[in-house]
Amino acid sequence: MAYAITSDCIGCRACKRICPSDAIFGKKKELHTVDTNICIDCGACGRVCPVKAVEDDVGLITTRINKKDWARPVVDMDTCMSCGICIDTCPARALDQALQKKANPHAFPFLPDESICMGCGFCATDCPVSAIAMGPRKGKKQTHKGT
Amino acid sequence: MGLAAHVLFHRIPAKADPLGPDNVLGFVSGLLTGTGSLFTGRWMVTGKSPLTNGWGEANCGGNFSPAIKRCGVDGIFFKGISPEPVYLYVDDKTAELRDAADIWGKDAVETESILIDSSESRNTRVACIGQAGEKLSLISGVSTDKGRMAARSGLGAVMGSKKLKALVLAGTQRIHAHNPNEIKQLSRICNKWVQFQPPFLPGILMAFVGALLRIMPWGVAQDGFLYKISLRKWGTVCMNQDVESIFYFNELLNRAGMDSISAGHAVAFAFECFEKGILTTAETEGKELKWGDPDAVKYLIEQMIERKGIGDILADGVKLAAERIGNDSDQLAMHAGGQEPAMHDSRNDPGFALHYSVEPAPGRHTNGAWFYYEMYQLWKTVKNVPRVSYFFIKSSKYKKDINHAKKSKANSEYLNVMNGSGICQFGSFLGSRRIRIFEWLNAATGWHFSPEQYMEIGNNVQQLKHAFNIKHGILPRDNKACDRLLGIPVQTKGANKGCQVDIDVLMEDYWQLFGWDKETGVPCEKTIDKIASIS
Repeated sequence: MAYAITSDCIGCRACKRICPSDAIFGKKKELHTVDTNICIDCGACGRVCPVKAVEDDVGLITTRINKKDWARPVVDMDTCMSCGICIDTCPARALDQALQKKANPHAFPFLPDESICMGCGFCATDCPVSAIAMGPRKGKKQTHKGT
Repeated sequence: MGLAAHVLFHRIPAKADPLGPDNVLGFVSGLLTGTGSLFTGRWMVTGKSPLTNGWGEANCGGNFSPAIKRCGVDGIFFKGISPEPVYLYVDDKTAELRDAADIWGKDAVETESILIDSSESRNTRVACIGQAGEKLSLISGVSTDKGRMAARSGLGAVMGSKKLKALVLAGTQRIHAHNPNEIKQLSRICNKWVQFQPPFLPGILMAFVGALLRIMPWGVAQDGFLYKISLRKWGTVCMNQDVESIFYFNELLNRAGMDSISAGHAVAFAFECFEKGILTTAETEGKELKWGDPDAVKYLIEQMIERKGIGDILADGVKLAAERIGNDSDQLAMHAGGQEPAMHDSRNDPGFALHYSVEPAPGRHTNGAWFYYEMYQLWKTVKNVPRVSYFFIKSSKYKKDINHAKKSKANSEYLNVMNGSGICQFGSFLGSRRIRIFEWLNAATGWHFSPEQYMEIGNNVQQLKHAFNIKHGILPRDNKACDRLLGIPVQTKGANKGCQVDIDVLMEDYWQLFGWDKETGVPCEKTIDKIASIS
């Protein structure tokens, strides 16, 4: 399944700009389309569309959400095992890894710049030990407490 | 891996030149890669090896394996030769060969940096060759993540022969599994054992126990203890005590994309030839080759990378070097079937000697060993494989026993399953009940195979790889490890005192268990029918 753009599209290109896999095609002020072979179902297009012109993978119309209200990954460092799967799976390459706990040699994931994160939740979905939950935004930038 | 075995067996014509257009070079990911299973990020380079002229494979970790799958494929294969240097660029929309004239001649680290910086995608991963691969050194490998190497079998030279500088993968596709929740459950069990640190076994006590066991006549089955290869090749093998120089040599080789194991053997071989007067200062531009001299090691490495003078002779491995030098220097060349073994002394564990000698890609330390088998603990999950007792008399390892070959057979089959799954061998040392490969495979694919069925698949892959060698004119007996690896002549002092491996008996037992002729190692008629049905 993949996301789709309905005829309500006004061609504002907001979805095209944010799509991490360049799956959206169309000229400015014209109807845009999603290449279903490339779409990875991250849902970012639906969250930025100003006219509710995006259907999700089960056919429901998505709603625009203000970017500051998007859910962002929150890492439970007691559960995380530093495998790096979240970093690899992130289509926006928004996560990074660094030492954060004192006297702990493991590098845990963190979000250096929240504005890059699209809130797709793939990191939380793919985490083998469920150490990531999607939660409210904390601030403009997270800095790891490097040791 | 099974996919690569099938493709290479059928697509490479018999006795094709490994550095010619007919060779097929494959980059394959693991079946479990990216599914949420742990330790499953390994990928393999496969092709006809120019070093052994038979089946060639090299294994590597890092971020490249998921990158292959994120392009929507399980493997990428190359055939033919490009007239000009090129690199492959793949993303979600395109797959194209691009001009690599600007990066040809640059080292692996620099190449990777340039290609990532110039990529339009943030998800770019690169595998490339350095100068060693470009200059067709038969001990060159494929580099990724600025220092990880798929080093063995000389497949960097195959890449260089095709004028293929790099693979640049920038796909963003999701990797799906049949039952992700079950995979996660199994991963948590595995993680529990990874985190397990017995507080009552401090390192100093373990060191004491190890020292004690060394002098005792009995051994203890290994359970979950990992070992680590550092750069023993540049330290002990060359008798070099300068640690900083070892890091430097490693960096030189990583950048040039040359196999550290084989290069270390080539340097040690040159030292011994010099010591015995086979090589003189006339061949080394006046440089004295003395054991333990870091400057001499540096000189030889740089000469090998540049393929100048003595380096040109050594850069294709010790077997070819001995043929070029002559003067009975072949007695000093340490190899099995043309490939230099790693630092794992087969006189301590005859399983190494057997796997060095009978595997389709000979001389690789990751092929198998009896202490690997002890750590896999396969008898806890697979029926009809020999159980290893926790205590055994050390000398029993050198006595004739069909169970030795049975252990090695199971080892080879399991390794093929592991390589097909993309599992890290260190991770698998946790034991098959703690790292549940078979259950992960069922959860990822939706199959309902038993462990025994997976072992049979591993057997099929081994048959295909062995048949590949037979097709290309490799006689199994030619891959036998050299005498010194087997304890011939037998040592009269030191840790290997009296240790000698009766490799002929072990090889014959192993061949028989696989359905190959006891004398020649060539598949019997019944086995040929089996290979025909699976290929």
